[in-house]
Formats: sequence, structure tokens, C-alpha cells
Amino acid sequence: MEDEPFDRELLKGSIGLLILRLLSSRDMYGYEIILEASRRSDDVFRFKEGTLYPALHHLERQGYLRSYWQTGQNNRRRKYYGLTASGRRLAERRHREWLHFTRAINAVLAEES
Amino acid sequence: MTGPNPLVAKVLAQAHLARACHRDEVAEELAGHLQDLADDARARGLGDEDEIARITAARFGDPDLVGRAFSRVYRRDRLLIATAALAGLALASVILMWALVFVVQAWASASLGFVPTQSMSPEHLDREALLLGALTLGYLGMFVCSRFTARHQQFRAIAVTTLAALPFIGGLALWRPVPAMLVAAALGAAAVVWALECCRPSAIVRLGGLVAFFWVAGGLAHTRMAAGGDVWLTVLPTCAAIALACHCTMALAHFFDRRLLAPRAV
Repeated sequence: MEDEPFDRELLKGSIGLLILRLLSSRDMYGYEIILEASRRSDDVFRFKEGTLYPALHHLERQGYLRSYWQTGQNNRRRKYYGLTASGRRLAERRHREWLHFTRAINAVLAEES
Repeated sequence: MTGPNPLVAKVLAQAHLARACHRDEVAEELAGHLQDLADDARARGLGDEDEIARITAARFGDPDLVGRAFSRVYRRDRLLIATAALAGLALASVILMWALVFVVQAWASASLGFVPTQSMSPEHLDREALLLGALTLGYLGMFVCSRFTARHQQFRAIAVTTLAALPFIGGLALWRPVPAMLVAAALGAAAVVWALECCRPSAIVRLGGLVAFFWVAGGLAHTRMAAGGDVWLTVLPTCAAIALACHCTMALAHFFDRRLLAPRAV
């Protein structure tokens, strides 16, 4: 995206957290994750979509995600991802870390302003 | 969609996925994603397929980068395959070497009027097996070193392999000096085999060089142990068999590399 409102590196470092958090609510396939991220962020998170899949496979191989194929509309097979028990724990831990981190950053920025 | 999507094909070309099931799964998943993107574009009223393909490609991102990211995710698979392949290669090579040399030795001793079971004592077989095994693993080790460390500095592989073998030889020397000497000698011979391989002469010249080297080495070793004019003739079949086995196992190593390791970017 040319008109990205922030540094792409910020998003790259947070993609794992976003995936884990989005999948906390329900199992989704790759394209659905992208649409959901876009919807929840009011279209701010529009990353290069191909980069999502290596991240999903990485988390799956680490045992944080499980996957299964399901045939949906138009007879199209889709690979759904869901959190494993350890993935759920990681999602909660990462979320706490993120809140802690952003609170600290916000506190510093607030004092500056 | 007819045929593999070019974007998916580009991703797979960089991903170097070792297992066919992973390749199929990634291809189907990405193709489905691209179809979803195209369907969305059509639903938004776009009718021009070229424009749809352009938008799809732009949203997907650089397929080479995606492929390389997949490659990193599946790196452990490739390393496991490489390890298993190299272990299999080493085992097959050592077995081939033993089989070829011992069959030729048995044939040669039988044709000279000896009873093979008497002329090839268990002690003789033990020593030869150790010597031939160390020789085979030595030059295969050099091949692996040069393959994975410095492709264009093959002679460094001799130094690396020797350094790696030194603790083993040292430990063996403390326990059983004679086998340790045999392993050291085999490693020296392996260095010659490897040096000949690095010069890249034609197959026939390489084989001829190997036969000449092993004949001289074997002849000198045997004349020191037993004087006699026909020693040189006696050791020739065995030395030719060793040279042929070296030649075949090195060809096997290159075949493994070309067919199994290189296509998977190992």
C-alpha cells in the first residue's frame, strides 16, 4: 500500500499477535482473516496478503495453530485455522504483553506532549 | 482457473518445499486465496480480467518474498531430508564398497588357488572393512563439506574433514593404535580421491587415476609386508575394485545432490 498510515515494519512485527487474536474468536481461513483484520481496523490493516500464509504455517508448525480443510460455498475447499490450547495461552500472553507495552509507550508519549 | 496460477508457481519456485504434500497444500491454499480476491473484484463490478489480475497481484505482494518466507518456515524439513539422504548415501556407499571389494578379493584368491575362507581371515576382513569404511566416509565427508560450506574451495574440505576426524583417530589411537593408523591412512587416501575428483577430469581419466593410485599404495604396502615379485599383480584386482567403488559411490553422491538436495535448495 502506498498510502500506509504507519511503518510497515510495525505491522510485520505484530502479525503473529493479530493472527492469534483474530483466531481467538473463531476458526477462519486465510482470506477471512484478512477481511476480518481489515474490518476491525477500519481498513488500516491492509497488508500484502501473501505474507499472511507463511506466518500461518509458521504458527501451525510451532503448534500454536491447527488446521483442517472444509468445503464451503461454491464447492470450494478452504483451509481453516484455529488455535490450539498452547496457541490460546500464547494469544493471551502476547495480548497482555502488548497492552503493557502500549501503555508504557503511551505514558511516555503523553508526558512528552 | 486453468493450470497453476503464475503467482502460485512463483511462490512454489522459491519455497523449495521438500514434501509433495506441503507443495500441494500451499498451492491449493494460495490458489483459493487468489480466486477469492478475483471474485471480490468481480463483485465490486470489475469486468476486465487483466485489471483483475493486476489488482490481485498487487494485493498479494511479491511472490518471491512470499516463497522465501515459506522456505524459511519449512527449512527444518529440508535439513531432515538432507540428513536422512546423506546418512543413506553413506550407508549405501560403504556397503557398495565392501561388497565390491570383498567379492573381487574372494574371486582373486580363488583364482590363485587359495580357499577364500582361509585366505580372508576374520582379522583381515575386520581391518579391510575398517580401512574401506573410513576411506568411503572420508571422501564423502569431504564432498559434504565442500557442498555445504565453500562450494568453490573444495580443498578446504580436506582440512575440515581431517580436523573433524582427528579427535576420533586420537581417541582410537589411545585404545587400539593399529586401527587408528588404518583410519589415518584411509583418510589420506580419501584426500587423494577427493583431490582427483576436484580436478574434474573425464570419467575414464579419473578412474584410471584412482586405479593407479590404489595400485601404487596397495603394492607398496604389500611389498613391505611380504616380499615377492607377484605381489603387484596380486593386489591389482582389489585395487581396481576399490577404485571402481570410489568412482561409483562418488557418482552416487553427485546423483543424490542433483536429484534430491539441489532441487530442494538444501
